[in-house]
Amino acid sequence: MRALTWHGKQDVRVEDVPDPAIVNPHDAVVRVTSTAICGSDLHLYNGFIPAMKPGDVLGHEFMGEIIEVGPECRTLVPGDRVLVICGISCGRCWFCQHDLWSACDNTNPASSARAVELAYGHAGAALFGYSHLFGGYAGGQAEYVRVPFADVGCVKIPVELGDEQVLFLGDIVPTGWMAAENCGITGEDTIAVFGCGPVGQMAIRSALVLGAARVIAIDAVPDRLLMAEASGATVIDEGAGDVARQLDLLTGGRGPDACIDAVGLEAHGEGAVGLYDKVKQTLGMQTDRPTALRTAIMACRKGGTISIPGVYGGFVDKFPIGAAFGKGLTFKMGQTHFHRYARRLLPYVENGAMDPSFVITHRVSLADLPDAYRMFNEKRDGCIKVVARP
Amino acid sequence: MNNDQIRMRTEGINVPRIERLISIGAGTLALVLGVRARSLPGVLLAAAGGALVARGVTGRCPYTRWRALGGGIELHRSILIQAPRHEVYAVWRDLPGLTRFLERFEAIEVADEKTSHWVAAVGPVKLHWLAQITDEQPGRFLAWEALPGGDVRHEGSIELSEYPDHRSTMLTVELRFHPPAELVLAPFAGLVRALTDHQLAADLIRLRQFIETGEIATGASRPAPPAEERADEETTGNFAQAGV
Repeated sequence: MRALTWHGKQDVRVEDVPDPAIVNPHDAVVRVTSTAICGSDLHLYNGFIPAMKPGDVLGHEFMGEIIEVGPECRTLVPGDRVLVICGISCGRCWFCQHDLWSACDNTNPASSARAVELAYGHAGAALFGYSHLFGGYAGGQAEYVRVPFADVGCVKIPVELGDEQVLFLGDIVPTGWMAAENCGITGEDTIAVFGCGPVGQMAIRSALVLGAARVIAIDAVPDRLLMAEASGATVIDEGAGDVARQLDLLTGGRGPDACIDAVGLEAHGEGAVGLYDKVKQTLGMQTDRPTALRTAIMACRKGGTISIPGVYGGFVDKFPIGAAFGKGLTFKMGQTHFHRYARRLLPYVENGAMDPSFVITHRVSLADLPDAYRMFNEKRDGCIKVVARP
Repeated sequence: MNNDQIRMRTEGINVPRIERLISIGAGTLALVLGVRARSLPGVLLAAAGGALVARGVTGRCPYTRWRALGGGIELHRSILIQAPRHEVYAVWRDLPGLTRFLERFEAIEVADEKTSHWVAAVGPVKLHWLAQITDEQPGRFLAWEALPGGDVRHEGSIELSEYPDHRSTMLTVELRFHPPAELVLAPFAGLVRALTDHQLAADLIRLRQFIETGEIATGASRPAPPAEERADEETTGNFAQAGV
């Protein structure tokens, strides 16, 4: 089959790879009808994630049709139309049972789980197409995918809904939703969203649905700010001056009640500290650039909350823990517990309350994906979200 | 307890002062002679001399420490499993079935009620021994030891208990073993311990995965071909690649 494979920094190619098959009893094989490029795929594209091997198939946002099921698959049959959740969870371990699906004990193979244990203390769930630290599972930017624990990970989709309406329920809709939920939103709250990529856009809409009094969206790219404004956010253009000052003015000096960092480790930095981050990163002495996070911490009101869906991997320098302590901030973060939300949010799409397809700006074929990655990475051509039909 | 003894306990200093001076003296001599010899035996002499000097300067001798502990390598790990005690015990007690989880073990054959034959592979080296169950309380405790004459002397036990969260079973594994060529490997005891501890940790993860879900996680896209067909791979040439 044809698949999008990784071959090094900023080198992805579409090539022929063996078709997947049933390996374990709870598996299913899915024929992909729609798949997307995620912002976190760019971390792979730009070489920030270790444990990648040439030939690895990328992609974790995908949906399609079941074509084969393993002997222990109980709720699915060939022909079922399903959305596949981007994280792989078993449903039976202590963590899955406690609704902490991305902390699943049993989907990361022992060798990669041990590597993560040595780095982080404990290993969580595996992901599709996200390096051998997360299980080395082939991803969904392909014609077919092997889906482990398919009963847990596949959401059946009614025929009335188009692919584009539901595709993002497998990743970025739950991510934006959980990021907003983690803010503990009340009707009095002003929420600041740093980063208006697809996750930021979903977080903005989720915060408004959850009842926020106002959402302030921050970015440097005009197309992204326009999209945020269309969703109902007040926008801050980074290009128009110091973000912290603008936030200060808009909140009467109090600061936002909660800040969502939807930027993560590849933040753009400026000034002396930005240069410091870049130099340290180039020398391999710092793995992540926490620019947005620092600004959020400084800007957030006393006693407020910092919610972090943006991916971080290693260590950051100059982390203002003193400011965070001094102001009594709460931090909520982590890999989204996708399974907690995917099925719960489907009714919002079914009854029209939510249509996540608004973020899509480009529709391509599998063969176009390498060019699409470059465009998405450079934020060219108004690119916000790319969907491919293999 | 005097200051010296306190230092020895808290800082890991286990070489007495006089011995440290002798060690530095003898080590320096060996180092100088070894370097001047300019030959392979000279290199080894210099290395031994260097080790003696280090031992004298730091006051810490890993070999002394290891001997004081009775030699051997000790492993101790616990893991929580979402299954009742008796179920976990039954899986462990099925000795031949353990090869599914214990990556380095090629075969485990039951000879009689208490005795089994074990074969482990470390790279090209195969290790054989007979093990005997020394104590058994079904659902709670199992202890065994290797019989003399085998390649690896060891003793081990597992204990199963109810974890305070009222839902998990805690499996605790204790192993003490003496690797073959123990005297040669003694300076590397720390490394051997780290590698075998890592192996045990990975094996226990596989065990938990199997008990909780009925499968062992793998990222492969296709099943691995069976051994016979793998041998035919070169001749047939059209067998799909195992795993991506």
